[in-house]
Amino acid sequence: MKKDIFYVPRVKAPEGLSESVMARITSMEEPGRSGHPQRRWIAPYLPFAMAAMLLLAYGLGVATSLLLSSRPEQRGIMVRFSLYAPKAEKVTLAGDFNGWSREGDPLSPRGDGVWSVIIPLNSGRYEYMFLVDGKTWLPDPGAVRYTDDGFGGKNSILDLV
Amino acid sequence: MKEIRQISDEEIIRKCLNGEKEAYRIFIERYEDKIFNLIYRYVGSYHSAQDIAQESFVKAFESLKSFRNDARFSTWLYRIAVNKCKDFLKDRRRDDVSLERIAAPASSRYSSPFDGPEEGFLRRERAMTINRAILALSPMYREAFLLRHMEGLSYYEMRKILGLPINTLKMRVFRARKSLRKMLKSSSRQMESR
Repeated sequence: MKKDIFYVPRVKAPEGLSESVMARITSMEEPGRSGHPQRRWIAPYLPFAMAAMLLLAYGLGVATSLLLSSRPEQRGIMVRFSLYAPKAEKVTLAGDFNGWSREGDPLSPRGDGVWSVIIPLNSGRYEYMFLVDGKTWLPDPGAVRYTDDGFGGKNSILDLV
Repeated sequence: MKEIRQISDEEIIRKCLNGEKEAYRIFIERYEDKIFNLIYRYVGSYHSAQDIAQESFVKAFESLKSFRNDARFSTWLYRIAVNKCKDFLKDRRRDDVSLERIAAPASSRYSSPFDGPEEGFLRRERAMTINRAILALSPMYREAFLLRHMEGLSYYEMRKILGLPINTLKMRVFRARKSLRKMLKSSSRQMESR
């Protein structure tokens, strides 16, 4: 066997590391909440007020929009996610609302290069991306805000407050 | 009840996002040795490595919502840790990293229970020499070397962590090895001439 001349023994983590981390996160909010009420049911009239606060961007035909016709019986807000991707063969929506599932919410082609899907969401902050042809992650060009995805890319943020 | 090692990373993330913070302890215990080892070799200070490791796990918890399933959780965690190390080194000059501090806590860990006094001494000496040489590398070569050689990651994973093209990473690992070889050679010449 070839001897590794750069071999250095591994060092174990100090005792108590997990305790100190757990002590800190116990007093924190749940991950990603950042002060936003998460998935809280909202009164039926609130979506109209929220509509004014949300992004309704349609730059270059790409956007995610809030549908004003929210369905009170689902106690949620119907949100349309759209992406202009004329060459795509398949587009899916992945986000923290569906566990970042690659197949969870497929978009349908509209025929003019725009793909879209409507899904019900409750109030809260959501992170999401589009997955084109199962291999290319794209942030929503119409999102108001983005956040670091931990890999140098950006997740799109949708705030439904 | 599932044994801890059977619980997948995805399941733990789901639990954490559903408010079961205690599930995060499984993550910490699963990855703390890997993460701490990388940080310690990167910054060269045991004490600072403790703080950085803690910060990395807390940051990962805060950002769990941002984690997509297109990479392994460990890869994502490595990236957070590497960024924390870079921030740490930016805040202080590299000269501030005391090589003496490395020796104290680490030396006891370099001993094997099967070593005689002399073998133990030689093993420690050698490990400390390599350690010093690794710390003498500039951070961009050091991180590439540590991820490849210490953590045994693939270039694909390294690309995800460092955000650099694979060819660049290969070049950095190659140069790091070359530089280390040179430093080790010169160090053994010095020892022989004593």
